[in-house]
Amino acid sequence: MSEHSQVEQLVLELTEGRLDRRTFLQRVTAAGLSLGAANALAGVLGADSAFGSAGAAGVLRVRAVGDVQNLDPAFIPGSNEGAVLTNVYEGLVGFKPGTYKLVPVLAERWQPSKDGRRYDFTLRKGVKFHGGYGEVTAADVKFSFERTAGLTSPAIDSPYKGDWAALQEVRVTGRYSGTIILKHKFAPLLTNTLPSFIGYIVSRKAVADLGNDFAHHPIGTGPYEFVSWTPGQRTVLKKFEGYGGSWLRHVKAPIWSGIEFLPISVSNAATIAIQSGAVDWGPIGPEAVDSFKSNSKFRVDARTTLNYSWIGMNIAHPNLKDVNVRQAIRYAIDVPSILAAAFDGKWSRARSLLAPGMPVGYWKQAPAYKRDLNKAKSFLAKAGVSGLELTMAASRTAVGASTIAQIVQANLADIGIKVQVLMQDRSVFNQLGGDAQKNRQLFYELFTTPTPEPSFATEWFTCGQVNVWNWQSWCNRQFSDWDAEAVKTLDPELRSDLYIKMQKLWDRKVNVVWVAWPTNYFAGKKGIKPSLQPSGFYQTWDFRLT
Amino acid sequence: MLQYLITRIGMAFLVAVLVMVLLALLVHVVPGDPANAVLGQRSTPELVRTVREQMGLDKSVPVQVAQFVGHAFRGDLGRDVVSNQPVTRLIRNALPHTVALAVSSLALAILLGIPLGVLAATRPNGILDRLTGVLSISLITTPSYVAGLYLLLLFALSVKLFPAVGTGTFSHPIDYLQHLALPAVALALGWIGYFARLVRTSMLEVLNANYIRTAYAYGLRDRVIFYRHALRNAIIPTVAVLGVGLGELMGGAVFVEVIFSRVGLGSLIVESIETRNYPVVQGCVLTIALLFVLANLLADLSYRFLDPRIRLEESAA
Repeated sequence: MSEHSQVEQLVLELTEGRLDRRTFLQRVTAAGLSLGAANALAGVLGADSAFGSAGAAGVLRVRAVGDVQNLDPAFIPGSNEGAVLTNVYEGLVGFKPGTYKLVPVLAERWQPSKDGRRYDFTLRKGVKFHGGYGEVTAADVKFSFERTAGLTSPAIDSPYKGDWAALQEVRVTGRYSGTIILKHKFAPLLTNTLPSFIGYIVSRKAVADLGNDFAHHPIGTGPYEFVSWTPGQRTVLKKFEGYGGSWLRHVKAPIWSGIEFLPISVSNAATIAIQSGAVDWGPIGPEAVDSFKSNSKFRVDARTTLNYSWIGMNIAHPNLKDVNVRQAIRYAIDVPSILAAAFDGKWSRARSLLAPGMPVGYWKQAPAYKRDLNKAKSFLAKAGVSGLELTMAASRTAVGASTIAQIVQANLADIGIKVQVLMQDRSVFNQLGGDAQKNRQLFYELFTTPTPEPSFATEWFTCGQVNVWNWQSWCNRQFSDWDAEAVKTLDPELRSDLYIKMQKLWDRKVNVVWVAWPTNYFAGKKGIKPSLQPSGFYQTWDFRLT
Repeated sequence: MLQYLITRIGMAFLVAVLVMVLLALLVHVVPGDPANAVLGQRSTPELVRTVREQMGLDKSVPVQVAQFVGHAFRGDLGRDVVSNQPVTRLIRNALPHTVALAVSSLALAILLGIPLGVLAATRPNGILDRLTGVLSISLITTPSYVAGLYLLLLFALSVKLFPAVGTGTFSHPIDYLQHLALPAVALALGWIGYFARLVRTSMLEVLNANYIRTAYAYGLRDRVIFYRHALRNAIIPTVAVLGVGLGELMGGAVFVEVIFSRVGLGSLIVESIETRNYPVVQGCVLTIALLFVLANLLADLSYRFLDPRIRLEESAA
């Protein structure tokens, strides 16, 4: 290849976002161009890069907390995939970026029936799938929803089929129209199932054509299309030139020529990567917040999530059967100290299950129990217990877990309870049922609630979840009945009342000490304005330059 | 020689089989349920059952062991439970980067550690010797992840001479070497110190030998004596530990790969252990074990090649 054509090729790679400015400069100078000329060329091309200025929208490099594993919406394992797929896929409806306002995306029109069991939809015409897979039709909608629900043949075992449990069928009434028919009223449909990745529309043809490869070659209709996944290194997306513009009714057109996700699992390394410019933006740990805030080159954003963490007490264990013992533990644990020590004071104190950001069911007057050793000791005396020894388990990878366990150990020692701390691998800690549950006593856990749907938070604590995720072993029929009722209640006020009643009931049974409603922190170059949902989920396709 | 070679290869094969059996038993020895870890919050008894079936955990232990060993001999290490990718593909993707890291670290350790050892041995107990002693011990006692973090802070954050994270691709060698530089140094530091101490000790022993005194008596230059005559013999113990060193570096790459967010067997193992993704853990550990065995075999053979006395002893026997 001649020097001239080499430079041409490099320019092409730079403008398409396949090269960063730094690499571009290295290779162009190696091809014979002077450094000054190469710099000028890169400037003219408006190349953005990890090491250059973010003066123009080139490729956005985002830190991912871990590598992607499976990009099929029916099987995605977690938030790393979710962050990628929000750029690639679209649903019938979605939350307008930055809000929880439900807006039509692929749907042109959207009409629920009066009984809340049928949802008629009409698709926007001419919206194309990536990779030449043609136009989105109602048949794709039917396939997408029924596939995840396990209603297609052969049925797939999606971990998300429970989110579609109420689906009877999707009836196709025309090329662009259809009806979602439910077995019963199902409130989470509009707060969780449809607006999240569970409601993404996949191409029926692409799923059939790609087979197993579909898990690593997503085909959607979103503003960015999938280019490549290099395991452990990066996931590359590029702007979809044939984008149907479904989101453009609500926000401006995306600006980045491409988006790359770089997995950096170690929090300290991620801080260095952002500060050095190797990545442009990303989530950071609470410990790094102050260093970014004190540097004028960076912007820090924070969102209090809908997640919750708590210290649980397994009431099925003989040591914790007596409510007086549990009351003693509740009054002995110093939650403010835990927040200060384990989370650098950066997370809010939880007072109940549902966080303030939850649109339905937040219990504003939930009590924040203060540490009171006299009360704790009197409860212990009432229980007639002395020389009590407990175990406290926590996952060694949970943020702050080790510190929390040590504080609890010290707090309970003050009332004469000896605590043995068990820091465990996630796979040991997460063991369900059997001896694991029988032996469980105190534990620290954090659950995520990715969408503004309260049932996603409450469902784990019903009777049906005892010996599964209800590690308190607390089975209360009233709580479970209200939970089932709330799922079928569409009126937000009635729903809210039910969830608040459930939390009050739970509070009286004293089997948890609420710890935190975690806050997600993000840092990036000053000029980058992220698009964050109220709970902290980020939609990189909607990031802007200020 | 041929008999020795056959014996050593036979031993290596036996070790490989033992490693495979132990790895297959790993699932039953280490506590933790891989199905729950993989499924996380969405875990239900029904899904747990499906995942356990996919992983073959529903079969009896001897059957699982026999299947793993049998499949491994056919080059099939199973599928990643989470991504559904063949484990061999994941290893093929990660292995070259770990080998590149380990080999470049070893090369750095040899290039810097050996001259440092010789330098220290030229003036035993002198200032230079003491300084290299302090330096060597400091390097040996600095964990690679600590060195890695400081290198990141200094050369990626303050000076911005090298990229902070990532691996690069072999198709862009300069970029790849830039990504490799800091991790390789972080991993090599301890071995530089170790080689320096090892060579110094061997050199001091050799320098007291009669043939070195004779060389001095003949009026040969110090440089010639040290590097041509003394080092040639003093290096043999160092070569003997190279095989172990390469294996150690492959294992030690775990921390460095995680800190520098590099692709490699180490980071793959760390991710998989947390979720008890056994097929990946087993495949990666087996690969490292086989490379360890191979490196030791090569070191043994080169040791015999470098030291004619061993060949002579063998012939005499």
